[in-house]
Amino acid sequence: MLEPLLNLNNLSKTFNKDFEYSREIRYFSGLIKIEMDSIQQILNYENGTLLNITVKNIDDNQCKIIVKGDKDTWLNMLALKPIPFYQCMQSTAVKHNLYMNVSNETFAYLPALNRLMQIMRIEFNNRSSN
Amino acid sequence: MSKHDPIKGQYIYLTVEGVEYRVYYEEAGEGIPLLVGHTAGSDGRQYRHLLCDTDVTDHFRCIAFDLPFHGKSLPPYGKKWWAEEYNITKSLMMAFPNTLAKELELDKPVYMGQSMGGHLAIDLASKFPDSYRATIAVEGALRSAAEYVDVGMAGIRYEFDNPNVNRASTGAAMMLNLSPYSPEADVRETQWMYMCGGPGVFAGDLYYYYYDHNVSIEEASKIDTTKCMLYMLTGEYDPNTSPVDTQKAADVIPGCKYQPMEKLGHFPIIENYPQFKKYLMPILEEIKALKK
Repeated sequence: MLEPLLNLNNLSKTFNKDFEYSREIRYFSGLIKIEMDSIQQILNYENGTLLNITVKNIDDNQCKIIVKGDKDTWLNMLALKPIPFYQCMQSTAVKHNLYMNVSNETFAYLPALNRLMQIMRIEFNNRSSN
Repeated sequence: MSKHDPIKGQYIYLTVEGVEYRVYYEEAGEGIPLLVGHTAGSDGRQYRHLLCDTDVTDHFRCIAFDLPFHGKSLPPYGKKWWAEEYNITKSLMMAFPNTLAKELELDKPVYMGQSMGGHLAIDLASKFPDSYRATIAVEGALRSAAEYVDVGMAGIRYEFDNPNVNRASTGAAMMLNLSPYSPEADVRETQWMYMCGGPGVFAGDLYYYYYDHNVSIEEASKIDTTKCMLYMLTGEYDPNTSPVDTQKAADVIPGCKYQPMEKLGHFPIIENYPQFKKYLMPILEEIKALKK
């Protein structure tokens, strides 16, 4: 099985311990799909609590928040100092080749998605430098 | 000894397009009047670093105003504003600094603004060249980036004026406009100001930013920079008014001066003032030498 560019399951403890992320994901129930180069990682929440993160294919219509991009797009976003306009998910979606679904949840939980991206970026660069 | 900023604030009553507004403004410094306009959905606090910078205030009387519905400027008391959708127009945007300058008896001020305030700098140079000695468009263009314009007002209201979405998300959305080189404390402060806005105001401001501000090439080519010099500064990380968008304006406005800015986004004046200052100071030096 292919390994995701960044294995989010390894970050589950970090997500749960992070004050800002935990606060911003409060009350969220449902699935968040993060797709990196065709590999889907599904974050499953119940009332703000992360139940599990799994690598499996799930239809978009079962997910409340969907973020998808190819490998190059994610590598650009994960750079410590991204080039324009990979500075966040939304700018990448507008100016480059990232997909984000338009839904109440995507907009409402944008603060959580921003923090998620920050944590992923830190982890990816820590891993790369080791 | 207590520590204070050298900023003084007060309220002024302005009658604009037949409606009386109680408008908050704050100022610091003395010399050439410099009116500064804020971005959509934010307020004059964006200029707090500029107003405390003696390199600027030793030569310029800096006046930062809050448009009505923003910051400390309330909606107009004598109007049933709650009975209609808030959308700010180009006409109203131009009228506010014009009326404020008149009421304060400013002698051919300079105007500087960022984002929608940057667009306004171009509109003022075009429509009121005799009223200003120069304008500075920070993140200004003939029109905002097409990808955003294409969203339409319904899409804009769905994202930024949606009862299912709290105001923290408006601040979070500004991340797309911010440079990864800007200090995190300044990034968070920029976002905070967006979280503090009134309901529907940011979306209503975008009516001007995306739609009512739309300068044709023909109009732009007639801007007379010998009467009102137009300077333009745009950050490389601004997707809303990208350096490419500003360059299009610079290509057709005779005599204007345009400088792209490295490591800055859509909010240079607040997201990283020291970096912005490197680009601003040469312009202010030039303005000091301009004839009125």
